[in-house]
Amino acid sequence: MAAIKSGEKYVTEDGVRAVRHGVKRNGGATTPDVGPKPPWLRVRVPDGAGYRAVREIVNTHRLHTVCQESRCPNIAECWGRGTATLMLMGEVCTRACRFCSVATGNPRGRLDPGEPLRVAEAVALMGLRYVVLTSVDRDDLPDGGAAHYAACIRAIHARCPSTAVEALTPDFSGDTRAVATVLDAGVQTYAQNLETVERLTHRVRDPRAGYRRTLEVLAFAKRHAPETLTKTSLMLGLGETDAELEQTLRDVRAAGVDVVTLGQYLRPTANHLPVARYVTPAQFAAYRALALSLGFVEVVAGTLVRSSYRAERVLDRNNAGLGTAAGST
Amino acid sequence: MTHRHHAQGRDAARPADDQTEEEDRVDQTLAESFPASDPPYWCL
Repeated sequence: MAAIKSGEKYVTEDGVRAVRHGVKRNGGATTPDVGPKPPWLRVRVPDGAGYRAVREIVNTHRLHTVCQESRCPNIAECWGRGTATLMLMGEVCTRACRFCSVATGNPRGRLDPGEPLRVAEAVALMGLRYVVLTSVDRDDLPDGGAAHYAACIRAIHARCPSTAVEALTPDFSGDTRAVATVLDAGVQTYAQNLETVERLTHRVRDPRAGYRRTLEVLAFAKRHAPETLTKTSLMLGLGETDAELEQTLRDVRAAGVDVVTLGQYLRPTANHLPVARYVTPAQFAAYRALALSLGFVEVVAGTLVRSSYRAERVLDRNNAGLGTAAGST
Repeated sequence: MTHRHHAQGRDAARPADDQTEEEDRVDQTLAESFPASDPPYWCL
């Protein structure tokens, strides 16, 4: 994989043609970020043994993680403490969002029927009490992969009955039957990411995604399974204004969403969208206070916050332990 | 070399051989995740 450059086409081990890191090379016309990285943008301290143990489990069970595929800056911390966010249905996404480094291609209906059991086994080996399942978008499948999602969730429940599951799903092209299929498999938290404000959605996300569609999916999830927590995530630093962010938070709350996370957008490769601003820790704190005032159950906000970052701690109502001694472990 | 890439994000002005053991582990962990030939853009 190392020999294939970002933006170049390649063929996966499963024979799927894909674009590495999801966005084609831009021919050197790279727009620079707004400026050098600020001092508060720092990598966390990992535990080497814990990291290697998670990597061994992931590799042995032929699993994919969004931690690796999205080039997450928290991988050292999360894997170091024994958690990973598993990415279902392969490593190739049918969509090409301009912020995301997951490979883009067309898997042409391929699904691994052995994945649910391997996922469940991996969750057991990691000893997770809370697991986040996410996936690539699978517009090539009639149900968007909802039945496969449900199979993975049920396999985890069967293997690890006390483990809570969070599903961070695609929008399933707005197909509420698919959303219901995932919810009915039994999840504590259902998430679909809005990613950015309405004005920037078309520029940031794949054209098949939509601001209103994601809100409708989230609103349906809350209506269909009121006891399930709903959650969405926004990246900041893509060019949104404070007024746009506030309106977005109001729209999200109006859709009945319980939890929102806010994090700094970081450009995964030079071919992806540039960073328009670095949000300061004080600004994140102010946005969190604003969102809490709108009635969210919890708001997790900070530079390196990602959708599934410390997801198991979200209901501690302490900004997931950011900035505390306990949070640095 | 890979370590230098990853060290820049945290403290580019400090010599790499002045790193703590914990910082070395960060670099090693990230180096294993993201090949030196193609580190994440946020690492550079």
